Amino acid sequence: MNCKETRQYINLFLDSELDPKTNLEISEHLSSCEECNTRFEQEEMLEKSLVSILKEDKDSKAEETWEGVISRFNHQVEPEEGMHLGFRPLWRYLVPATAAVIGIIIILIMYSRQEPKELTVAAQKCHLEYMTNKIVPTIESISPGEVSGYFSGKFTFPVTVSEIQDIKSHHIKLFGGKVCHLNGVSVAYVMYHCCNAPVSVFILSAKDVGNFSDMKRYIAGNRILSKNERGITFVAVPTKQDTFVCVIADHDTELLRWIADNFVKT
Amino acid sequence: MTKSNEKKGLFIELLNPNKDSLYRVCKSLVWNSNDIEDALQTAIMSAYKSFDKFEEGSNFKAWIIKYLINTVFNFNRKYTRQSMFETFHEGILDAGKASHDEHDNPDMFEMLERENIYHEILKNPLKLLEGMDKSMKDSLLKLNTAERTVFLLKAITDHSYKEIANILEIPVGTVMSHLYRARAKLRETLCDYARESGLFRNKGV
Repeated sequence: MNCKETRQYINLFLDSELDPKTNLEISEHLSSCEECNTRFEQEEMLEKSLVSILKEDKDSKAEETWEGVISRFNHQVEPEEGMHLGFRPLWRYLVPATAAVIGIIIILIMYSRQEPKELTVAAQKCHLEYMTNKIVPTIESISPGEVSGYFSGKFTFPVTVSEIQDIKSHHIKLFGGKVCHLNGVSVAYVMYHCCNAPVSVFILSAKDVGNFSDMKRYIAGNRILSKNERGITFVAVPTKQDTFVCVIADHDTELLRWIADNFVKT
Repeated sequence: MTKSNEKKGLFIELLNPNKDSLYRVCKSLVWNSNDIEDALQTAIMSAYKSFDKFEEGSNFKAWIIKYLINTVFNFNRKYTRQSMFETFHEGILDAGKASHDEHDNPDMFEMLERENIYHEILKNPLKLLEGMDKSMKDSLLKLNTAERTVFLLKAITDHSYKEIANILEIPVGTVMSHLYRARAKLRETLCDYARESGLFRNKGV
């Protein structure tokens, strides 16, 4: 092996990573070549000096750190292996556990707020959003046929929108329709206008009515008719097609009934 | 109860002689110095949980350092999205590129060979290193993560290439190229420092 070849292996040789044969060849060369031998020694010395930078000046924090680590290790290992839980670990788990419980409660509160269990509340929320233009109809039309066409095939129950006659010279104007979800239940939402006030009509399957706590009461016999503090009235009426029609508006009950009955008739 | 105490005793007994190395590796690789204690603690805890899998008589240092490296990389991941795999994979790509470039550019050590100042340093490395202050010594190690990790493992723990490859789960060839480039870069930095300090100026050229 010549000098050039030998020097290629300098790192591997000093790291003792060479196969025995190559290692021997290099050793032989070094014993006969003064120049290479010096160079290898110098490189070894430089590497050692560089490494000593990493190893020198004992870090005063090392011992302190290890003390902390070992004491924490002892505390963590003992309760796991021991027969009973000590006070300290229990306390340790208590904080995250309490935090988790509080978190779950907050999520539940938010969840229940988002999804009211009562149809009157859910529907009124939807109605308010319609009033404040947060909800707009997917299909905007004054033609009952067009709106009925939009709903057809979208539900397991039939939805028919028909012309509503004036009542006491109040003209009820169709505005549009939209599929919406109340408490996870698919509902046909028909929007009307009457005397510049919006009227919301929701049609849902009788099967889904059980999802709402207030409707359960209704089925059990109590008539559903509610009025909230804003004067918004809610009326729900069953139809012959196994659906329920709910009407919400800032109007008197008579007008709401009139609209609901119009859906029941068809 | 006594059996688990025995297990714990053996673990601590094996751990004690390696505390210094583990601390140094941890300190040198962790990005946020506030993480040192937590990283060590997490590493020995996870190693202890798998202590049953450790074969008595095999290399404890190499075994436990694997847990430490993994933990430190997970800690550092808080500050970057790069995973341990990506760190070394990127290194492999770089290494591939570097070896490709070697046809056009001379080898890193060959370039050093042409530097007069490097030969001066070789004659008396301590003259230079003893004059360096701590911040200068720290900045010496400003290598990329892959090179730094491999160099530190070699320097501090004196593992073989194969052991380092096992710890980092990368091929032996990649360990070699990272180590090679780390060493060349360190020497280049030394040359730069020597030139700036003027220590070898009179003798040079």
